[in-house]
Amino acid sequence: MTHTVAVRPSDVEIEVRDGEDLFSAAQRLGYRWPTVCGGKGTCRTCFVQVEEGVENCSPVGPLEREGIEALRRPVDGLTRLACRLRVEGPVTVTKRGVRRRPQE
Amino acid sequence: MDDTSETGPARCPGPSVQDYLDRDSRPVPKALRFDHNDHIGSEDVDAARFTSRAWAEREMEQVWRRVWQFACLESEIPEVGDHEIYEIGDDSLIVVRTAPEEIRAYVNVCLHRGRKLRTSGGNVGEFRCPFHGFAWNLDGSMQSPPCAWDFPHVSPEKFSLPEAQVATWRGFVFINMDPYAESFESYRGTFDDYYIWPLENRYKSLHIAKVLPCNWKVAQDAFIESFHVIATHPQMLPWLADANSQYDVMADQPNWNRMINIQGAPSPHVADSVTEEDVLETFYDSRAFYAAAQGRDLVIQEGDELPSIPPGGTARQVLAQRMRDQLATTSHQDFSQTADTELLDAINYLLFPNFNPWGGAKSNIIYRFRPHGLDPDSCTAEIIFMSAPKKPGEMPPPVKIRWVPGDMLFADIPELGVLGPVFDQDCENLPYVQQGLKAMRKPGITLSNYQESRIRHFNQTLDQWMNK
Repeated sequence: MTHTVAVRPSDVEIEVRDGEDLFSAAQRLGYRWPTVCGGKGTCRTCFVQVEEGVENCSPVGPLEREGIEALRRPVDGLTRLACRLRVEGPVTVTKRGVRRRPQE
Repeated sequence: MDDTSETGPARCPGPSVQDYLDRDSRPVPKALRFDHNDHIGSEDVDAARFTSRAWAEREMEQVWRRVWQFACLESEIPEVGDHEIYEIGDDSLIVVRTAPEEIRAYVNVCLHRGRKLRTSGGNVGEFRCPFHGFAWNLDGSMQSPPCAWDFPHVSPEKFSLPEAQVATWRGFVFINMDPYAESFESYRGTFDDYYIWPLENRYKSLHIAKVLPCNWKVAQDAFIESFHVIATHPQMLPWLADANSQYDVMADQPNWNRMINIQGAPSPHVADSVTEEDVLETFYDSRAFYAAAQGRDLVIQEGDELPSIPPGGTARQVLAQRMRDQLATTSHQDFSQTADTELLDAINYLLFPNFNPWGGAKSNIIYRFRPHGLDPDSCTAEIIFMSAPKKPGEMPPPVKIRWVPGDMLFADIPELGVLGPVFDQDCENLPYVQQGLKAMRKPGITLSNYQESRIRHFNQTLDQWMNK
């Protein structure tokens, strides 16, 4: 089962599998997503703003909370780390720099 | 195990701990039949150790950086990447599970500009410095630095995180910052033969921490003798045999000592005027239902009357049986063959310098006293309860540490039960000791030969490290 995450402003749609995080799904589908640590939850570079579907988002865990606090954003469920975010239904987020990886 | 020694300092007239154990209704473990106290001197102990900043700084170098010390519990870091931060003086270590069967301890500092890598425990897949993003893998190896082109002089092979030694013992994690230190097994000496209760099968059910306004040794010394009960806890005299407590101190075992304090029997100070009924009634007084659920306090169920003492019987026998029954109902274990002494008495061990566990069948208390930074005038005091699971096969996760403000009373922490106000009485002395040691026109404190022998033993071990 997959769930659609729409990413603004590039209007990319990513099909995220159950249990998969948004960042890993984007990588799997050939998208470039800003990161330094490569998805370990420690660089905080992959963060997104949730625009719609917050009720479909997984709860914020301790390491993600640390990251959001370091970003000086409220831990209100609207700022999330893509590498920690799992979804259970349609969600819309804003993240600049999400692009299809150039074909090699 | 050594045989009982008949030599040593003078002892309190009145029944000894071993006399009480002779009358136990069940077989007493051999470890508790051991009674040994080497006379290790009567000289004053210099007071500078408690008050001097220079002493505190030297103690960090000479002692804390070289001895095995209690850092955390294995159950606090069950998954790979789980870690706790252990701090002592200026030192900070990440104690991390690096593989299902491996725990390591790294110096918690980025080797680039010196920022602490982690400021709290948690779970991570790598240690990434929040300042510039230098990162280390769980095995301590360094990843390629950010902007590697700008660090041609840094080779990751030479930038592994420095490590401390790690050992585990019955579910507890100990660290040692000295790479040349003796093994933890040899450090413990004969401790394992005498601490016989299965801490590894228990879970951390309570963890209270508080900063106290006194040197850590002032606090430590206050909790390893029962001599102070006569003045500090007079309410306990009818049911606590204080002056005839047993203190086990071995000259050839520098890193551990022990006391056994009989409960459910009167203090020799008041024994003449106390009946067995008085012992029973005062024992129950002030014990709280909440703490009974924690596996410690013996309480009377609502509506029940005080149990009666059969003719010729003792309060201690009745209380032991009541505790046997109560523990059986609050856990799945069988206490039918558990000795009275394991159900009632305060059996307290100190493994130098900061592992201070109680033995016995009730929830085991663990104290940990340690310096608070380099300040000689304050310390961190922790009270941990290790409790038996209530159902077979169930092992609840360990509770988190709960820091309470300095002005909060232990009596206001209901889980502590009868111990709450007792701790408050102990802690009321401590700042006045700390202040008094500075006002005293006498270079040292004077200790008794027997009842304060653990304090002397502990301070002698400390001196040995200081002078090494």
